[in-house]
Amino acid sequence: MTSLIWKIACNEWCRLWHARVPVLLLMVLVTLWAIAVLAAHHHWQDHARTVDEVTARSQHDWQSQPDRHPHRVSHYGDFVAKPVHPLSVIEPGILDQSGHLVYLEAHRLNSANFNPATEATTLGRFSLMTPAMIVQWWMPLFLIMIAYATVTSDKITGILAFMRGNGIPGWAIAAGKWLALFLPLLLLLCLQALLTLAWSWHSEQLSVRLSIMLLAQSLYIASWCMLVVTVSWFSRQLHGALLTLLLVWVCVCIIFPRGLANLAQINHPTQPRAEAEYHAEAKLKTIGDSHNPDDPHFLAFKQGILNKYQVSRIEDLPVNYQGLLMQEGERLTTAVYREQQALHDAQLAKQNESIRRWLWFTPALALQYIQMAGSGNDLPHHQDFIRQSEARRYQLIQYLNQIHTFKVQQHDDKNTRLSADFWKKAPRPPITLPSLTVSQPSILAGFLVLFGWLLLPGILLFKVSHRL
Amino acid sequence: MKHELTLLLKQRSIISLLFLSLLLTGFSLFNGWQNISHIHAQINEATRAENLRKPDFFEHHSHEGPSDSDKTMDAGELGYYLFHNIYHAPGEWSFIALGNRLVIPSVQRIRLLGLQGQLYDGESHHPEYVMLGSFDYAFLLVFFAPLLCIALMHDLKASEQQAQRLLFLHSQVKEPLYFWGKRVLSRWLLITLTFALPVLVFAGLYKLSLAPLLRVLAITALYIFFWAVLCAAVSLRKRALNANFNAMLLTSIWLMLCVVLPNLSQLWLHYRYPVQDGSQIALQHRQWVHGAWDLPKEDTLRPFYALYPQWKDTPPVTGRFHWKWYFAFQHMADVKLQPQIVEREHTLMQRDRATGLLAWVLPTVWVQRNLEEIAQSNVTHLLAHRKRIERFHTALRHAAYPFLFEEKPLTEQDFQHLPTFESTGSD
Repeated sequence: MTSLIWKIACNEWCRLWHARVPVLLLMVLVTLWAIAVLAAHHHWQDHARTVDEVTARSQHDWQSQPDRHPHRVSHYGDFVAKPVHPLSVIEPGILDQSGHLVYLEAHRLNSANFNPATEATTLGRFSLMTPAMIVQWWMPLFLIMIAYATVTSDKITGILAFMRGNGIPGWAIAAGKWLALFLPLLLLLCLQALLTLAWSWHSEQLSVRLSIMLLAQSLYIASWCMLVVTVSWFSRQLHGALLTLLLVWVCVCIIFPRGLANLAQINHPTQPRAEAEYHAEAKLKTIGDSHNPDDPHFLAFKQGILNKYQVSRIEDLPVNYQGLLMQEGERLTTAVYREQQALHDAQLAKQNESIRRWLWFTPALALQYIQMAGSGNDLPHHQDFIRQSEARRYQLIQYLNQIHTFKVQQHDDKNTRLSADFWKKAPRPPITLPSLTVSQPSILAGFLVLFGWLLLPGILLFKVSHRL
Repeated sequence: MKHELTLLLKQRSIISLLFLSLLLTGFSLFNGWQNISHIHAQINEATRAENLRKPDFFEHHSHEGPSDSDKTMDAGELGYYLFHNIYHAPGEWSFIALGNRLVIPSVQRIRLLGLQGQLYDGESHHPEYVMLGSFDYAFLLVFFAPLLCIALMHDLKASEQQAQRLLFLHSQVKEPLYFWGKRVLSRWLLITLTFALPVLVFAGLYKLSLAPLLRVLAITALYIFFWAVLCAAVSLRKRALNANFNAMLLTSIWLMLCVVLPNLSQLWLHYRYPVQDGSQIALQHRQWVHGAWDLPKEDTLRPFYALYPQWKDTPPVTGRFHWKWYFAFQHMADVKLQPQIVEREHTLMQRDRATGLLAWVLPTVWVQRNLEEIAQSNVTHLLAHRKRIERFHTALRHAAYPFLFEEKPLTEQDFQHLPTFESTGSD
């Protein structure tokens, strides 16, 4: 039976080759692909260079600080840039929209700033051309144009009836046609994956990320091939087949992804950042105000310190009370800011949940989620970056406050300058790429939808292939 | 023409396509409107909260005077602790194209410190939503309207051939141009109506002003006309008898105009007019501001007094710290960064102008750009907004300097007379 299916597939290839137009279309697709790779590579290079420059400059600025008071250093702060994985060449995801620089500073939780999307001209509103987009949008479109007639024309010319009459089962014809469409595209996908593998050989977690992307892409294209064969089998006229497929394509690839995201934003709108900052400040005031000498929280804190060191006056403490106060203040502000961040993350999670509920409509978006997760440019990866930089901020500031507490003499606090060696040894762990498990929910949802979309046309095709 | 329309409206598939288009246009307008009203609500809420917060702030940060009504406040503390709201308010027609409003914070807060350290604060939007883009009228018109044209007009001749009427028609029709023209125009009219009607209903419902409405309608009609002509040219060629080939050709043209060419233009634009990344400004700003702490105070104050000679003879700074000196170096950081800022702005404007030129060649870009112009959501509006913030910041500084440099405290009345963003906002 396999040889029969294979024969049907070979026959289909022969026909596509002789029809000329399909080959031409395939060449156009490959050209578009090359353009996309060029554009995406340029884009990635831009980002990677910026990240490198910022990291190097931030490091240099930090290391070349003169002798300073530790609290000055904690306000001088630190800049961290979000690392870019080489797979971003395939799918840049939210790279342009999320902001790539965070300023880490004492008692502030700053936003990730500087996204190119803000300053883009009108041209920025047209979707970016990337290899991922080629697979997600244009490959199905070209597939439709190449193969909408695959069964319909056989039906019209009577070849289908002839083949069935010769005892070839319908499902074997369907499988042969499907294979004929799928194999060349799979070959292209594998080629892309191989080239990417060779190009970014030394990058982190490459094999798992690349293979998950390749798997999702293959499933997606397989389901489109199935859909094309199915619709082609259903239709009586060539024209009907083409228009139906184009309509499905417009809905799945263009209307639904945007529509779903916009519906989610309408139903669960995000709150402005400024408001969250005011909330945090108001909340901090209710917890304790270190500037107010009668504040109950800090009064209790002071008493606790005095008891701990068994002295009766702050002046008699062996350590710097200001430093201790800073530590306590930082602990409080950080707790509140992290709470605000968690609230914001919950808001975004609500939007995501609402999108995922309707993800069944569009395998294109499901594929995009997986590709963005694979290249490390989706929301969970970004949130992980924010978390890592926040952890680094807290660690750094508390280290500086410790130095303030133990190395700065209390009676001459404000005039003290400590050696720059202290800053050079400060803990500033580099930001790392999280493991793929951070985006597990979206990957799972994506694969479920892709499998569903493989199954649905599969069943339909099996049913319809009994017809003539 | 009337017969053409009845003929068209008798086909179920065409009715359903037109209905779908009406539905999507309605949704896109509703979505844009919803987004804009959310922004309005945010701004109103923030204004309300600020009005409540301001008296509170004075109460909290003021020092006791001889009597209760004589409470005063230190200008330095005011500059350091008081945040002022600034708003990026949408225009009346902003719902038509959301453009960069998705990423620009509609409510932002600044204080009297160096402006460049605060100007670029991001908004906490959902980045994946922004990446997928907004489903607004501009998107639907630019991307979807051509597809509708292609669906309705790719087989003008071919469908007649298919029904074996083409030769008969040719023998009957005296002026083929007039005959086919009517067909194309009737289709153009229907498609335009599915876009224009919801806009008209919306404009009537919310009593929007007329001039932008006319512009939007004109852009819509023109753009759809362009695609109608293109489709007609393809499907009325001498031997345009293969409907499927026409459909594929037109879809490829659509692909070129909507995706490939704008992308290549963007690539060229970024190559031709490179812009220094904003992060460099942030890093440089930090160096200027924090470096000043390690310099003699004279190094900051001398150039500052050169800019503001009126405060030159105020009491000198002698101690370890004085707000005067603090705000002077905050401002000097902005002044030193000015050439870089101007340069960036200049390049961004050049990019915008180049996009304007490209728009004359690419109809898709032309439509998007013009709609964004009406909606005030282009990069030029962002730059104008930044200018407004800068003006407000300057007004605020100038209002605070007399108190700061002459070292006189602010009374409650002075506090209430501080400029607000609205009072300096208008051009």
